[in-house]
Amino acid sequence: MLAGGGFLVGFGSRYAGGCTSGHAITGLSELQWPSLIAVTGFFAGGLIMTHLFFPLFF
Amino acid sequence: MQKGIRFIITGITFGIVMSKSEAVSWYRIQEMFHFRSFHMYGLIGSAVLTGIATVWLLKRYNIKDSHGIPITFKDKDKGWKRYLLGGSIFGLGWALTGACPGPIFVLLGEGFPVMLLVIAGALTGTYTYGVLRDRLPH
Repeated sequence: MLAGGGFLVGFGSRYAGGCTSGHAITGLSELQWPSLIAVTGFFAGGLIMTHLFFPLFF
Repeated sequence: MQKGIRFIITGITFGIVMSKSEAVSWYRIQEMFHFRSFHMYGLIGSAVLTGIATVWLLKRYNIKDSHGIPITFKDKDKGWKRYLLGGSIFGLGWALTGACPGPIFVLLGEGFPVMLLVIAGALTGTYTYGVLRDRLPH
């Protein structure tokens, strides 16, 4: 499960072109639109995992 | 070596900040996705505000780096698909492991060898992206 989560983190951050530091912190600091879209995606993914998938797993 | 030291010091500082601010805590991240605490919002929000001010100052005064080269900011590529799709995939993994690429190393350093599994998974993920890159919508 941890390796799978790691896979998603690695794949997603390469695909989106950045992670929490690259998009949420530095991207938003530079007021870049793509970063705001990416952060929306981070949050959407996180909410889906927390509220839809966690109840199924645990 | 002289060159490398700056990066090492910055990295160590970043690691300490991440660790002390609890940004590497799975529980803090769960709290955020349950909207139960202001902690992570305050942390990220204040980081962004500091960042905006710093970027503004760097641009306003044309500040140069230690080699005397002007600091420039490169615009991210246009489009939205990769950001929304990649971002959502990242978010799934972020909530599951409670760690993004920085914190996985911080947590390893805090003494959780299990993070090696996450690191191995993340490397496999980045490799897979490289293989599939041309077939994904960007």
